[in-house]
Amino acid sequence: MPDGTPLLSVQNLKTYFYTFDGVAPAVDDVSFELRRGETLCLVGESGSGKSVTALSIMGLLPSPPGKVLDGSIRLQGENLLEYSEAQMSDVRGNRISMIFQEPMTSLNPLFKVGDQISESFIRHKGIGKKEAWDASVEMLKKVQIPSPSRRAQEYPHQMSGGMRQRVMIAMALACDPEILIADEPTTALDVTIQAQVLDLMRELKANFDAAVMLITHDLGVVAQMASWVVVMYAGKVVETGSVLDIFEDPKHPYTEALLQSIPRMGRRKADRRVRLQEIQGMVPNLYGLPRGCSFYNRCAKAMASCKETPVNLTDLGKERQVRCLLYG
Amino acid sequence: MLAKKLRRRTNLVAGTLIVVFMVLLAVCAPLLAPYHPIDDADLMVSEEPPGVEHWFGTDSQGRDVLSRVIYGARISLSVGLISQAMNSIIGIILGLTAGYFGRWWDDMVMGLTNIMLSIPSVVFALAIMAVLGPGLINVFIALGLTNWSYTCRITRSQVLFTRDLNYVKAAEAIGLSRARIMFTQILPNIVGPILVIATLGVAGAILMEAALSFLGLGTQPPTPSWGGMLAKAREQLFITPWISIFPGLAIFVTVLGLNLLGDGLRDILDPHSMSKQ
Amino acid sequence: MLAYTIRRLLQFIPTIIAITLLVFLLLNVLPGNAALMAGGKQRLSQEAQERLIEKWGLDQPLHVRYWNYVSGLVTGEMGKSYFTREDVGAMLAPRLWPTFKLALSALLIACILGIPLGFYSAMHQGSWVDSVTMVGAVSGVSMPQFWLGLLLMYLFSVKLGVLPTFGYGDGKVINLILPAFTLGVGYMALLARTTRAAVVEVLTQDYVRTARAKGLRPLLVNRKHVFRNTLVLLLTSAGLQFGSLIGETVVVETLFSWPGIGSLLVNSIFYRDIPVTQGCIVVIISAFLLINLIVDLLYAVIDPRIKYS
Repeated sequence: MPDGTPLLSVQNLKTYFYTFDGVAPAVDDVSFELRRGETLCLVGESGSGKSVTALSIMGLLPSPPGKVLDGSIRLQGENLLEYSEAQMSDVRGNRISMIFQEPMTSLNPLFKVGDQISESFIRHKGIGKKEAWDASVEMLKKVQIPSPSRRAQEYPHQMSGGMRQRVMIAMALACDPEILIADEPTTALDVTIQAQVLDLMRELKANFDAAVMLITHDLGVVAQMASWVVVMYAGKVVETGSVLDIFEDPKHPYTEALLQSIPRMGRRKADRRVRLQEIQGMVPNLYGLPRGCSFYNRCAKAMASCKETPVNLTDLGKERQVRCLLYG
Repeated sequence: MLAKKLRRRTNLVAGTLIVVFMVLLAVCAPLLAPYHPIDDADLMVSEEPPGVEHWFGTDSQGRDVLSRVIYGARISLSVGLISQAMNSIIGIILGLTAGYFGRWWDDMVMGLTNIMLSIPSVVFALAIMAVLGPGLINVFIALGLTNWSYTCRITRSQVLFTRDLNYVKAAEAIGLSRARIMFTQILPNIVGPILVIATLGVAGAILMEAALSFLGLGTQPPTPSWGGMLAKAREQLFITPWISIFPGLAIFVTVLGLNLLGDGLRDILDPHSMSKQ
Repeated sequence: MLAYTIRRLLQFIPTIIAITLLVFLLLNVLPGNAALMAGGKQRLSQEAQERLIEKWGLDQPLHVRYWNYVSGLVTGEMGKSYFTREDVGAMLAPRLWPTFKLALSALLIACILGIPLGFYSAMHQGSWVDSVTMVGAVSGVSMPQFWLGLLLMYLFSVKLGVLPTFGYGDGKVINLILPAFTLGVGYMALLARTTRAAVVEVLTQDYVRTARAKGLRPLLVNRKHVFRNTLVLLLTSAGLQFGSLIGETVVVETLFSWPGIGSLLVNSIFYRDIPVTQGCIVVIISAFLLINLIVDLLYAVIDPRIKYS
C-alpha cells in the first residue's frame, strides 16, 4: 500500500452466520487496510463475503443469524467492534457512510428527497430543519442534479434510477465522512448512467477527500475506479495488490480466470473459440466448504495437494499477497 | 430429518391434529357419544351441572350436553366443508371462464366480484337467508354463495398470466387444444393458494353457521348445533351457565385448528401470499 | 389530490346503485312471500292477500318497483314496514347512533390495544411476548364473538354483578362496556396479526437499512420510517377488515339486545319484513362503502405515490 496512515484497518475479521441449515463462514479471517485518498475495490462473485464485510464494518449485520466472532475493525486506531450501538450510530452516516445497490428501493417513498437528506444533517450536525434543508439543496447541487431546490421537494418515485443513486450519494457525503463504502452502486443502473455515476464518484472523492471502499463484481468498474484491489472468494481473501499489478500480473488462478472471462473483441477468433470464456463450476456452498482450497474444483492449475491442505496467505512482498499453494 | 422439518411447522402440525380430531369426532359420533343427542331426554336429570354421569352436564330438556356437542360437530363440519366446496367450485369456474373468454363476460364477472367484496359476507348471507327463510339447507346455500370472490380472482389472474406465456402460445400454434393447455398449466399453479383459501374459508363458514344458528336462522331445535346450543344457553344463562362454555369451546377449537392449518399450509404452498386477504 | 377525490366519489355512485339493485333483486324475487308473511301467524284469505299485493304494488313488474324504490331512496323514502306500517326510514334513524357508538368504541379498543401489540411483537420477533401475542391473536380470530360475549356476560353480570347483562339502558357508558369489548377483541386480534405482518415486511425494506446506515437513532427510525410505512400497509387492508367488524356488529347487537341496526336487521329477517331488511342492508352497505372511501382518501393523503402520479 502507498504511504499514509491506514484510515481503516480490518484485521482477521470473522463473521459467521448461524442458521437452521448450519454455520456459514461468510467472512473468514479477512484483513486489509484502507488509506486516505485511496479507492479500494473488494472484488468477488456473490457469496464471496464482500457485502458481509461491509455490513460488519458498519455494524449493520442482521444479528440473529450473523455474528462477528473475531478480529478487529479499526477506524483511526479505534476498534469499532468494541463500540456500543449508540457510539456506532454516531459513526454511521457521519464518519463512515454506505450506499447500496438498489436505488429504486433505498429511499423511503413517503418522504421528500430533501427531507431524507436533511435527516443526516439534523442527526449529526445538530442544525435546525431550515438550515438542514438548505444544506440538502446544496448537496443536490454537488451531485449535479439540475434544479436542486425543486428536486428536493420531490418524492423518490418522481425520479429516475440514476438520479436516485445520486441522491443516495448526496445523503452519504452530506456529513463529510472519512470513508464511503459503496456496495455495487452501479449494478442496477443502465450502462450510460453507470458511467455518469462513476465519474461523479471519482470527482466527489477528490473534492471531499474521502477514502472509498467499492464493492463490485464488475472488473470494468475496478479498472476505472480502483487504486487497490482485494479479491475475495468463498469468504476468504485470495489476492491483494495495486490495480496495475492485479490486471497486468494476476497471481491467483481465480483472479486470472476472472480477467480471462472479460470478453474482448477479436479474441475468440484469435483463440479459435466459439464460446465465451467462463469459469467452470459454481461457487461452493458456504455450509459445506472443503478442507483444502475452496477454489479447487474450478481451478485450471489445481494440484493434488490443493484438495486437502488448508491454504494460508503468502506475502509476496511490495504489499502483494496471495492465498495459493502455487506460491507457498 | 422429517422431525426437524415438522418442528419448524408447529402451525401445520397442531392444526392438522386438531382438525383430524374434530373430523373423527364428527364421523364417529354415534360410537363416541354416550347418549343420543335428541332422544335421550330425561327430565329427571335436567339442568344438572357437569358430573360423572354427564361430563358436560345436561340441558333443560335433560339431554346430555357432551353428546350434543359431539353430534354438533357433524353439522358444523359438514356445513363448513360443503359450503366451501361450493364456493371454490363457483370461484374456479367463474375465474376460468372470465379469463378464458374475456370481454363482456370478464367485465361482468369482475364487476360482480367487486360488488361481492364490497358487501360484508355476514350481511350477504343474511340477505340470502332473508329470501330463503331459516333452516339448515338454506344455510348451506347462503354460505355456499358468499365466499367465492378470492378464488375467482386468483383463478382469473392465473389464466391471464398463463395465456401470455410464450410456451403456451407455442403450444397453441402447433394445435394443442386451448382448453387442455389451460387445464394442465393453470390448475397446478393455483392449487396451493386455493387450498389455503379453502381451509381458511371452512373456518369462516363454521363461524358463520354458528352465528346464523345462534341468531335462530340456521338449525332449528332440536337439532344439535353448536350455535343453536349457545342461543339456548343465552336464554338460560342464570340456570344452566355451563352450557355456554362447551359448544363455544368446540367451535373455538375447531376454527383454531383450521386457522392454524391454513396458516401452516400458506407457509408451504403459498409463500408469496397470493391468498392474502 | 382533488382530482383523485372526485374520481373516487364518482366511482362511489355507480357502486351504490349496483348494490341497491343486487339487494333489491335478491330480496324481491318472490313477491308473494311478503303478503303471506304479513299475515303473521294467521293465514290471510286469498282475497286479502291479493288486496295487499295490489296495495303495496307488489304486482307491478320488477323494474317498475325498483325504479320506485330508488327514486324514493333519493328523497330518503325507504318504504314502509310490512308489519308495523311504520316508515322504514323512521325505524332506522334512532338505531343509527347506538350502532355507530358500538362500532366506534370497538374500533378504538381494537386499535389502541392491537396495533401497539403487533408493533412490539414484530420488533421483538421470537421473544415470548411475540409468541404469546401471536397465539392470543390467532385465538382471538378463531373465537366466535358471541361465545366470548356470553362468557363475559356470565362472568361480569351473573357472577360478579358489576355490569348490566344486556340492553342499552340510558345510553351510559356502563352499558357499552361489555358489547364494545366483545366486539373489539376479535378485531384487536386481527389488527395485531396484520400489524405484525406489516411491520415485519417494512423492516426488511431497503429504506429502513438506509435509515440505519445514516446513523439515525432507532427511535426515530421506528417512529418515522417504520411507522408511517406500516400505516400505509394497514390502510390497504383496513377497508375489508372493517367489513368483518360490521358483520360481527349484527351478532353482538343481538346477543346484548343492543338497539342498533344489526338487531333490527335480524328481527326483520325473522318476520320476513322485506322493506325493513332492505333498508337495513342498504344502510349498512352504504356505511361500509363510505368508510372504504374515507380510508382510500386517507391512504392517498399519506402515500404521495397516489397523489403525484
